Amino acid sequence: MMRTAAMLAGALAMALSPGAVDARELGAADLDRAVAAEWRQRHLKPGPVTDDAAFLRRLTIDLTGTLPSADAVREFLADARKDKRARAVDVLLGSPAYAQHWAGYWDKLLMGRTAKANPILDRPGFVAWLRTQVAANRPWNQVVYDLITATGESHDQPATNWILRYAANPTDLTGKMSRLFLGVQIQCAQCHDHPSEKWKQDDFRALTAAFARTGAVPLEDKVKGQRRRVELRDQPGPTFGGPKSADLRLIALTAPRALDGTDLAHADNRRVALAEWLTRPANPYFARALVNRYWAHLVGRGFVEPVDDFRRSNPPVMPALLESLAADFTAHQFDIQRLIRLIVNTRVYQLAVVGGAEGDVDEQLFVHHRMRPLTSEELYSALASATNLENGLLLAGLANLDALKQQLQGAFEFLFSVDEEGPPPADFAGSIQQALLFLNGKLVSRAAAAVPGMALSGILDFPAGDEARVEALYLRTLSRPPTAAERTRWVAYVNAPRDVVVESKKRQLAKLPRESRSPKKNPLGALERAARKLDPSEPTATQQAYEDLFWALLNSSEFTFQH
Amino acid sequence: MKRRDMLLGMGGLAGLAAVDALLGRGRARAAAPPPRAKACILVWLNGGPSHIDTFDPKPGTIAGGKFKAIPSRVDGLSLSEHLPELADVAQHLAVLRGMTSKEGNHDRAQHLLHTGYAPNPTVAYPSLGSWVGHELGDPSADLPHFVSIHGPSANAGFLGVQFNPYIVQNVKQPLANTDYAPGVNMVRFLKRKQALDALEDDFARRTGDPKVKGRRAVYARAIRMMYAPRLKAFDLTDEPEASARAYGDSDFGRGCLMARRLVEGGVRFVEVVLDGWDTHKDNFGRTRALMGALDPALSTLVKDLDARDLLSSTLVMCLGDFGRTPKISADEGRDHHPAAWSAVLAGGGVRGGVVVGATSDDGDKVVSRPTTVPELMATATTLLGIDPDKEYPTPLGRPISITDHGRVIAEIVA
Repeated sequence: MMRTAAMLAGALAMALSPGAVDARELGAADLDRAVAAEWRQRHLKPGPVTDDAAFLRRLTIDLTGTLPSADAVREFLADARKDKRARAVDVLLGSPAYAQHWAGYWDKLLMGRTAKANPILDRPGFVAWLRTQVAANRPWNQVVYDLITATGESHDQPATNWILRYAANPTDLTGKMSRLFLGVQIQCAQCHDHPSEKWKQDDFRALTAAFARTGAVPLEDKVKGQRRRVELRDQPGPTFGGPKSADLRLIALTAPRALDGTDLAHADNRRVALAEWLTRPANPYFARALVNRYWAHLVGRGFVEPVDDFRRSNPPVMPALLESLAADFTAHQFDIQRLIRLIVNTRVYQLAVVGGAEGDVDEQLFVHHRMRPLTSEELYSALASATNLENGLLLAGLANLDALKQQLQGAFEFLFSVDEEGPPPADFAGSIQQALLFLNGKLVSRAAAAVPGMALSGILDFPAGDEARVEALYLRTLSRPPTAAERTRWVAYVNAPRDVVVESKKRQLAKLPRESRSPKKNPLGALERAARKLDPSEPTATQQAYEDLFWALLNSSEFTFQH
Repeated sequence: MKRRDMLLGMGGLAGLAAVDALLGRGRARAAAPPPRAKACILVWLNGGPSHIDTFDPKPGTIAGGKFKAIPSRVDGLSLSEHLPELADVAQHLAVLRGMTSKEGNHDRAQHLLHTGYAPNPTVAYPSLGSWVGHELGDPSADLPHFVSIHGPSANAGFLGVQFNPYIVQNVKQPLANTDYAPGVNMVRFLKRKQALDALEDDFARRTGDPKVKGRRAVYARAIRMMYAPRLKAFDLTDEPEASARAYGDSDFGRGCLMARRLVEGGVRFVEVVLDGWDTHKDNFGRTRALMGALDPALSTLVKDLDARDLLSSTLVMCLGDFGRTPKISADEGRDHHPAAWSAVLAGGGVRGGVVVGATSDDGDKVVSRPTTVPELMATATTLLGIDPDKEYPTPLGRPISITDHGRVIAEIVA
């Protein structure tokens, strides 16, 4: 342990010393050595490394939020190069899907899950701005600097949207800022002092005071039902703390101060002072918070859990490793892609899934990779990708695909997410409703059907035999080829004699409530009707057997978990 | 480090016994009282209702605000003028006016009131509804043990996903996807199920992860629900027009009606949420409108349970995040106030017509017989026949008792 700490401290010092040539850059192997030393000391044995197919699936979901295509799996498995895993990381980090996925991740965290319409915000503009930042791999300190200091109108200065969201609520803004960018739950000190914790009410007020000169200034009169133009800007005097609230008045009167006591009042603009303090390399909280968040997202568990709750009474595991990762992140200009590359190239990231209790020592110390349920966004993407759903919707003549996607995803959101902000806790992602949606819901059932334009219909048209068809379904859903036993089992399954179930078309249509018959309200109803028009032939027993197998694959734990 | 933890660290079981001896609550307690309640309905006033404007009126004071107080059927129990129907069933109600807690943030308070514990990042505490399902739920029951109407409520924490609530998002459409998908009949569904089971067996074997087991248990419950003869409990169209009307023409009222039907159907814990009590602005307009929904629904629920001979076996609890400040802001709002608030209980072995505790003239502080959340939880679990001190190990092996060492509030137990 001593040696490991010394080694890491050395790497850390080198990384920090300005102008030092990177004779000993931190690499994935260094991280693995540090973790292995800790395991040895505790007599823990790591599990095996995951196989290629499972690795590609895990990596693709983590970096792009969806499944690898069947072709990508085939190519990866056929690739004989030794460094193909590292190559796959580079390809995915450069893909548009990476930018799309992580822009969505940060949008959810910053703006919340529920898309409550707020007439002063431009959320699509904000997501597009995030996408640009992620795609360009803009240094994290610069992104955060922009979020904290943005001024102007929401649509032409998209970074303003985040602070504008909290325009009426500076204490919530401070709480969120602190959790996201510092990993400190300062909002717990909002109401009263906790004797055992470091942060006091006064620290909270002083930090919130950094926003006390910032306000959303209306540029036009309020017109009901219309977007109201406002401008985010800083004023010479307090923008809150009128007679309404004693709490806010007290905050407006408090001198702004950062968590380490740095005075934030000296600059003309308190937000600039805050952003400078926040993102300067000497701020120990900033890099640590981001590094811990990304490590947790990728490896399955953070050095500190919850990821945004660093405090004296909640110490990290392997603190030296966390610090050296944070130092490396800082020394490399807060390069997020570098951080991701470091983490996913480790053996720790690539360990196979092994069962055990949630939160046990093995899990805390990253001895195995732990499965997690896919988030609602990931699951929708996986379903759409496996079934080619959206192509089917397009072929069915549905023009506004984006709106439909949002509706479909909305149905998932409710069932899969309870947390307003951030990813849903793992233990909520498994309700009876969710099971019913997958067991009987039209989305999964139709997505697994042989509808023209969608996956199964193409697979059934294969000139090749049942083995190739079963393999194609496996590659699409589970991102791996079936084993020999699975192949045999499913070929027998699809060929077993069975009766064709004929759907009573009238009954099904009559069951839909009136308002959901319009294609606008019920995209799947429209898909069903279009499918019937396109393919009036009666279903066959084999076709239904394949639909049932496809349905089972989409319902399986192997499909719905990240592992 | 708490003394208890220190002793635990030192001496394991011996330490535990020592702590119990020290705290004077040894295992050898008097025989547990027989269960009084079979089920519990939690009426959750989300956002934190103003105690002063509802169950603890302060007429004639500045803090008292705009509403008058009216007498109830019980001496010494006056209620807001906007709760006349509840005043008329006050003989069934026990009102705890001395509730006090320390969590003034919504998330933390909702966690505290649903689980009985303040949030702690290292323990995923189960909610009361999940405990009730765990302790009392018949594993072969075809309806869920725990239903949350308009929730999401709080989850089952370390008990596992199979004890999470079944959430009814919309009382008018409570059951989605309980019927076969188009083109599927029972034979075909079983074929699908057979394929799924084969996949799950393999994956569970390969990974050995308990999450697969938990998910399969949820699937099993979902499938049982599809074939449940009592599924009609969710269907309000079965109710006569008049009974539905008595609950008030609101989704909350329909939620309370559904709660009664679910309890009749064997559901053990139902939470019905009435949202909107976070009245930082326009406290009086909004609180009055909310009482317009609460008053007929809760009073009819009590009467309806009583008329069906279910009140004595159904514990009804009505409360929210915390109380609200005596101080009224320029926006006519009241802010969060965990120091003093009210909770109302009825049925299930609760003595009716009782007021316990009192607040100061302005409603700011509890001045007599304070009651805490652990005491409330101990009372509820005891009435339900669950030992509040029963311990379960978390996945990390740390023993957690069902409630946080509170004593039963004897004054409200019949």
